Amino acid sequence: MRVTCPQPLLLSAVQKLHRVITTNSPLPALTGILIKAHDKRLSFHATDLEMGILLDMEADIEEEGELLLPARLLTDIVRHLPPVNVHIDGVAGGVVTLSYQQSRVELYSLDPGQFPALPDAQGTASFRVPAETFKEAIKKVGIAAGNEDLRSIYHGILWEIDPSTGEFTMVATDTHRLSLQRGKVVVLEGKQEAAPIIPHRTLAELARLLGSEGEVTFTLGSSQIFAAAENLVFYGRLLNGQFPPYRQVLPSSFATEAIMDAQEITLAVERALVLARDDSRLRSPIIRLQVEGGLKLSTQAPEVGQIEEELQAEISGPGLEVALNGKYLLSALKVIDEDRVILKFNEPLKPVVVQGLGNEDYFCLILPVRIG
Amino acid sequence: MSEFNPEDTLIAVLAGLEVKVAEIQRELRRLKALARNLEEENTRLRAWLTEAASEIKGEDKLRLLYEQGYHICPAQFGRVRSTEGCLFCHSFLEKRG
Repeated sequence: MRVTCPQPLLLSAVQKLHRVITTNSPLPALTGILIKAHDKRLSFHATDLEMGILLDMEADIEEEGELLLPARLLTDIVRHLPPVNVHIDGVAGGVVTLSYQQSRVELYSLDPGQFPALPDAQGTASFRVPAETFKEAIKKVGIAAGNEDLRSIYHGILWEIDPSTGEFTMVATDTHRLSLQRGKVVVLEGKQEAAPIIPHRTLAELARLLGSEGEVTFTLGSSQIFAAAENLVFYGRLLNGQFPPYRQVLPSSFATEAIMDAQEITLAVERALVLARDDSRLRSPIIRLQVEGGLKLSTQAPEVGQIEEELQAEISGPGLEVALNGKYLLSALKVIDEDRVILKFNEPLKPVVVQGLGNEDYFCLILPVRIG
Repeated sequence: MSEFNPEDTLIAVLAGLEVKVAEIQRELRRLKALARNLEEENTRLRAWLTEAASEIKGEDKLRLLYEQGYHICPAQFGRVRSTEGCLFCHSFLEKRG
């Protein structure tokens, strides 16, 4: 293979792939980046078997071929090269030369024959979403995904697609809280409702790779999901198992509502969290919300001190007091884009809804904690 | 005085490593057996809990089980839960209540 490519483009490609590469894989081929030169295009492929990324770009190709180069070494070297054209010349499994200006680096190529083939992007359903919609949804829903066990259903995001309405619902829960985002998709293929569960890590990685412009086309296979956007092909393994029946935990009505300035409550919760020490019994920083005329927010940290803040809020319904994990409340407030936020309550131990005022497409549900 | 022979030293190091690898393998086998036993015991206990729960008539007993730190929601019944509550157990209790 003989190709020439500007260093900035080469660096951008290998850095994007770097995060899916395992450095201590039992399969040496997975520690590498597969570089292919074909049809005037240069492609870069990496996978950890859970997900894979294929990037494609134009390059000056003198001789087609493929090479598998150690990812960490390649990235470090390319990062330190000057921003000039880099000429890559080598044979699979042999020595590869990276020439630039009057200098050159030699690397030993791994065997590209050992690298897993790109899965066949066949599927029963296909749909298209604006990249920005997808990125926003992952940012907002991902806050509630569990992160203790990456193979658990609770680390997954349920993505329901309804072809009859062209609507999607994304849900994540770690059982203590649940976040849900609704939106629109353009269904390209498939008439059956689909509800894959995809690891949060996989979708977050895809969101990181996407720009805010353009659209992403998803294809849903039996065990994998495929995404295609501009010069990117991405695939990830689905989680097996049954997502908990989340609709059962969504309250249908609320007794009390409090509307307030989003920034004001976010800053107040941040201040309270500075003081809130992890309760040794609950292992959570607890924040009390007292709704009565306005909203009083307080936290007590034994042997440290206490904080109490009164916020202006429009209250409807009877007063009550709830205790929430302050970290959960803050993460929900931080992903809300609206200027005003609404908190919806029923009873002190029933789930609380955190939502941007007027935005019915997103909310986060938090289960209060019992305090003495 | 005998001459220094680097191969002897290398062989001695390798022999030492071989002993350590054998020890690690023995420990790995022991831990695997322990994990297998714990998994079997866990499966038996979960089955026992499920059976016991089917005999529980009152909501109070399920609530007690929940408050003792076990999931009572169908998806995770009998599993130890964290100190924070579970939305699904909570909803399950509410429906029965």
